[in-house]
Formats: sequence, structure tokens, C-alpha cells
Amino acid sequence: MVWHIFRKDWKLVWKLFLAVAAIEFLPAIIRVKLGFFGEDPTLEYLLAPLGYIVILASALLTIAIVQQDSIPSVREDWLIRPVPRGDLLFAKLLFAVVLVQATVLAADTFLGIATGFSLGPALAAALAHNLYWIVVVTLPAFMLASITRNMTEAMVAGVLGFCGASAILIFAVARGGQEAYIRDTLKVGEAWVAQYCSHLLVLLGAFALLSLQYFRRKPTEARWLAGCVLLLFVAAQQFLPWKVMFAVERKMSLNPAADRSLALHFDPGIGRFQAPSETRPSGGAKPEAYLPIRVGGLPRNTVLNVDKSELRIIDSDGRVVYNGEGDDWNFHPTEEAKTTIYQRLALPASLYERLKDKPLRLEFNYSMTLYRVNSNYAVSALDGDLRAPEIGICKTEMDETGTEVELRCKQAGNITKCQSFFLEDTATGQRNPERYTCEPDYSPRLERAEKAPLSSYGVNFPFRDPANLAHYPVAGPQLPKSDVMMTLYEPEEHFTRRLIIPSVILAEWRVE
Amino acid sequence: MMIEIRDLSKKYKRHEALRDLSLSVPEGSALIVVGANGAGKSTMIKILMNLIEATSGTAQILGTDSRRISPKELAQIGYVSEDQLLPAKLTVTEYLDYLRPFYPTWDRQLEADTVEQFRLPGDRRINELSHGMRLKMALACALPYRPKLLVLDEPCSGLDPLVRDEFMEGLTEHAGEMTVLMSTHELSEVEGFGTDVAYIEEGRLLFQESMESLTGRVQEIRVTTSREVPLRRPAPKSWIGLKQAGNVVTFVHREFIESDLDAQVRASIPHVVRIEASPMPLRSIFVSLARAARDHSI
Repeated sequence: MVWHIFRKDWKLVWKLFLAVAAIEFLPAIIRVKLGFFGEDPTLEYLLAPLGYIVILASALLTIAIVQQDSIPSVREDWLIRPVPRGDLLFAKLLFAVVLVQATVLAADTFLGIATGFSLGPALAAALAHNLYWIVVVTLPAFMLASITRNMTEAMVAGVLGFCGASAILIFAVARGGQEAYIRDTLKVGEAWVAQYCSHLLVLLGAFALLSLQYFRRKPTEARWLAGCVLLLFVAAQQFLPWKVMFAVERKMSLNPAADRSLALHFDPGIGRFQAPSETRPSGGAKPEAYLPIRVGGLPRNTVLNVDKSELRIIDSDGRVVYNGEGDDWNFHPTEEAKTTIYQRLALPASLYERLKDKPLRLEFNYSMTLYRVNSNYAVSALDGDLRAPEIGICKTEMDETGTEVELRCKQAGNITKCQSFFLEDTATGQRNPERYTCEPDYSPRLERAEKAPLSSYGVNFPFRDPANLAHYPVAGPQLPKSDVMMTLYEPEEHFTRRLIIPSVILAEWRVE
Repeated sequence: MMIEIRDLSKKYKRHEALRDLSLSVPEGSALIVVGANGAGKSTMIKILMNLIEATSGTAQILGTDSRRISPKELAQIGYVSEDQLLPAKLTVTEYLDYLRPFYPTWDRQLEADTVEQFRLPGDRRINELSHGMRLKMALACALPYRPKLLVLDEPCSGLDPLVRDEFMEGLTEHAGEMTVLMSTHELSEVEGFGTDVAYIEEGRLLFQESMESLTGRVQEIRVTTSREVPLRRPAPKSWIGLKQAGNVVTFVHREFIESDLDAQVRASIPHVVRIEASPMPLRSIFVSLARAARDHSI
């Protein structure tokens, strides 16, 4: 009876399906039209709201399909018909997968191919995106539809759920400061562990809730269960202990011994902090001290990233006077000889005033990740077109003002998050200053392709200063024979390090 | 028994929709459940059809606990309700086509006959049908598989007399050997259809008996006296709606036995000249019983 029910639903929602399919294809068409350098700001502006509209439209279609045979209602004719519940559930899931998901898959694949990828990578990225879509859009919409009688109820419940989730986040921010909240929004590298947990909860919740509704028809219990799933979903994303996430990450290290030679020392001989450096005074209200740290034994071609630093300050009587978090930093030795970094320390003003002249013991516990160079690529600085599996498709051109080279890349699936770039004159070997960007994301490959079928990023390389203050080794005349050099880094090991400074006077390291 | 209800109760927060209701429907009978709006008839039927859950008690339908009713039982039950939601955007034909495969006993000829009899427009969408047409459509969807049990929840509610007659004619014609359970608050609409009747008031079953027995035991009594006389109080409890106008006393006797009437009347009313007992239309019987129940004289 699955196919029989499926056909009945198709008769009822085919018009809505066509409308939703058109909406789902629209962002892909706009992205193709924008190309790599996206010079139509109107279309660019359209994309952001369109993303939400696509989610909403897909959810509405899923809800409409499920509610063709509403479960909580006591007036629906199908409830008194000998319709096998398992067949009904399967027919609805089939509809959601074949029509809602398949359209998303087709739109994503179209986008990949139209961008220039071959069918294989385009389809693989689209499939990964589809899995993500099932968990975050289709299944939640399916659950919502199964506990509500009609679209109005579903929308009201959806808004209530959104408000509930927002309330939890506000509570999280109020209770734990920004730290808890930013875990997802700023994409701390380990955030994928929490996301996996929340996705697993959705899957388990959907299994339990749909079983309860379709086979036992318990709307009240199912609604409570849906509330619990929502609560746990948000809680898993926001409140999963950092240590758990990092422990999972450590287990997944590719080379667990890579950090063996790494050593961190407090080295007063380096001298006081002088801007510019890796870290700069933030100018905030809190007094800031910058402690000179020597980084030794860092393997060649690696980057060190601090995912989290915990700080304990102990006074001369052995009392713990501060227990909190230090600043995160990353250490990218752009120059061969560079071995130092400054650890920024920002304490509440009253605490700083109380402690600044006293000898203190500082204990830093770092959760770190070591990145190793994965691959190097070069692409012509002007009108370059590079295609490679690791980076996808990258193109270059000069900007409209004639002062910068623009590099734009698109990758089927998510990109490597840490990269460095510089302009190099291939004839003379001269280089412009290196640009290093890193948004830690340690998720496994499949998960990386989740948020969008195509990832894109771009870097601009200035080569001429209109004010004529800065001078670049690689300037306009050299560009035709220059390349953009790209280095991609992949996380190699996750580990912890402890740095103990037995005695320090904070005032000596304060930066005004 | 096709339906067996025992001590069924349903509470909505503080409101008790059903209170320890027990009722049974033997095979082959047509039980009309009568009661005012809000008496609990629909609640009872929705529990029977497993649309809502009872607070306590049991309801069996075709020998199965209604909470465990499966497609096997549903394939033998026809259900029509005044507030039934049919898929609005399907046409009459499309919906019949959809339902057909779910019923192994579906009779296409009977389907065609029913559709023709009810003059259902096959190509029209269900949401374009009038209320009456929709009810006839629901009945047309309940008959072609020849269910053993037909459950009708206020099927004539809101129908104009012409459509109601068409509906009842269709029902009478096709009911055949089916066992029928029908609820209504307007007995005159279904007069002549049922074999048995049950009366529900405020969630309680006041009685269930055959139509024959009911019309026999509830009669209107008219007593003429030689002069206007005061009645001896209290009057027997089985007398309801007692009225006196001059030398004529009238009441409804709900435990009428012809041989006992004379003595009973003379014990309560002096100077009796004549006693007349006459059968009542069903509607009048229920109006009298309902009023008495409301006045707590039952």
C-alpha cells in the first residue's frame, strides 16, 4: 500500500511540490549566475534570505505531506480506515526522501556541475549535504507535523519551539557568558562532536516519536517527547562539556606523537610585548598583560593552534586567586627564526589591581591542535584558473580599483579551514607578506560537507597602495609573471600542554 | 456481541463526559443512542473507534479491545460522522479509488449503485460538496465493502429534510444484515430505523431497550375526574410531566402496565371517571424523559 498512499499524496501536493522545487533551485541558479567573483550585489543580498526561505519551504512541504493524514486529529477519515500504519509511515518518509530530499540533491548537484566540478565530486557533496538536510530540516519537520493537526498548529508549535530554543540559548549566555554560546556560532574546531550528538538525538528522537505516533497514536506523550528532543538538541550543542569533545578529538588524532618535541617556556628574556605581533592589545576595559612564551621543538611546516586555555593563578600563600580561561592563540612561524609568542592575560580590573605587584604562580592548561602542511598550490595572479581535488576550483583576477588581486575558490564539500597565501614573483622569488587564515574545524570529511554543497572562500592581495605609503615587493608590473602561492594545513594531532610560570609580577608585563 | 462497553468513563479535566457507562449491541440489531447535545454520545463512539482514549472502563468492538483495533477489524466497520474530515482536495471518484484497495470485500457494483443513488458527482472535489453531500459521500465510502458493523455518529445533523430522507433511505436500503449503532439527538429523524434504543444523559446511560418495549411501557395517560380535585401527593415516581387542567389530569407513565393502571390512578387521584392510555411518538417519549432527567425526577 506504500505506493498507493504515495500516489494519493502526490495528487494532493504536486502543485506545492513544484513551487518548493522551484524555490529550492533558485539559490543554485543565483550562485551559478554570480560565478566566482559575484559582482551583482543585488543577487548576493538575495541569497541570505533565500537560504531561510528554502528551509522553510522544504519544511512546509514535509509538513503538508505528513498532515495529509494527520495523526492527532480525531476527525480524520483515514483513522477509521484499514490503512496499515507502517505502510503509511513508510509512504510519508518515501515522499519526503524522494521528493523533498531529491530536489535538494538535484539542485546541489546542478550547482556543482554548473560551477565546473565533475559529476562525482558534485554528487558526493550533494549527498553529504542531503544527509545533513534530513537531520536538521526534514526529520524535525516530520516530527512537528506528526504531533500537530494542521499547518497553523505546526507553525505555532514551530514558533514556540524556536522561542524555547532561544530562551535556552539566552539562559546559556547569561549563565556561562559567551563561551557556551559561541561554541557553535564561531565553529570551535571540536563543535562537530556536539553537533553529531545533537544529530544523533534527532535520529533517536524521530525514531521514538514516529513509532509512538504512528503505531500507538499518543499525541500528548509525543508532544512531551518532542519538547524533550528539542531541549536535548539545544543542550547537546551548547552544554556538552569541552573535555568530552576534546577527548573524542584526541582519540581521532592522525599522528598522536607529533607533539613530542614541542616545549613551551615562559622566557622573560624575550622582552615586553611590542606591537605589531601575533597578538595585539585589544584596548578593552580589562587591564592586559602579555607574557612572553618561547615555543620550542615545533616540527617544520606546522602550525600550532590553542583551542582552549585554562588558567589558574595562585598567590604566594598557595591560595588559588583566579580560576578561569586564558586567551586562545595560534602560532604560525611565518619566518624561519620565529619562536616566540605572547600569551595575553586580561583580568578583571579589581583583581588585577589587587594582584599586579605580587609574585604569582600561573598555571596554563592548553588544549592544542598541531596542523601540518597538507599541500601547496600555485595559481597565476591574473586570470588564473586552478583545479585540484584538495582545493576545488580557484580563480584570480584584478579588482576594479587595480590595487588588489582577488583569489576566489569553490570546493565541492567543505574546504580545508587553515590556509596561508602570498603573492610571489616567480622570476625573482620576491614575496608580498603572507596571509594566514584559520577557522578550526576538525570534523570528519563527511560532516564537513554538511552546511552547503559548495564551500567558497576568497582572499584579496593588495599590491598597490593608492596613498603610496606602503610599497610591495610584488607590485603591478610584476603581476603577469607572479603567482598566488597557497598552502593548506590539515590537523595532525590534538593534545594538551601545561605551562607553569612559578613566579611572575603582572605589572612588569602590562601593556597600556 | 458486536459492541460491549463496560463502566466507560471519560474526563476532560473537571468535566465528566462519560460516567461508568455500560452498553451492548447484539449482532443484527440497530441501536439508536439518543441524548441531548453534549450528553456523551460522540465521546462514546470516538472511544469505540479508538479515536480518543477512555479514562477508565473498557470498550470492545467486534470482540476486540477498541484500543487494539487493527486494520483487520477496521475493514469490517463502517463509520460515518457529521464532523468527519475527508481529503478535501480529492474528487469523489479519486477518493473511492483510493479506498478500494484497503478493503478485500469491496463491491464495485454496490459502490456504483450507491454513488448513483446519492447522485454524487464523481469529478467534483470533496471540499466543493455541500455538508449533506459530504455526509452522503461518507456513507457511500462506508457501504461498498459491506461492513459487519456500521457506526453512525449524528449522521443527520444539519441536513435539510430532503437530504436527510435520501440519506436514511440509502441507509435503510443497504443496511441489510449489518449491525448498526447510530447516535442522534433528534429521534424523529431516524424513527422506524432502529430495533433498540439507548438514552444517554450527562454521560450516563439511563436505559437501553428495544423500541417495542419502550413504546409499550411509556404511554400518555389522561384521567378525567368528576370535579376538580387536589392530587394526593406524592405522585408515583413513574409518572412524569404531571399536569392538571380543570378536571383533567395528564401525565406520562414510564412504567405502564395496562392491568395495574386503574388501581394505580385511583390510589393517587380521587373521583376518577375515565382513564385513557395512548401510545406516544418516539420523539415525545424522549422529550418527556429528557425533561424528567433534567428535573432529576428520573
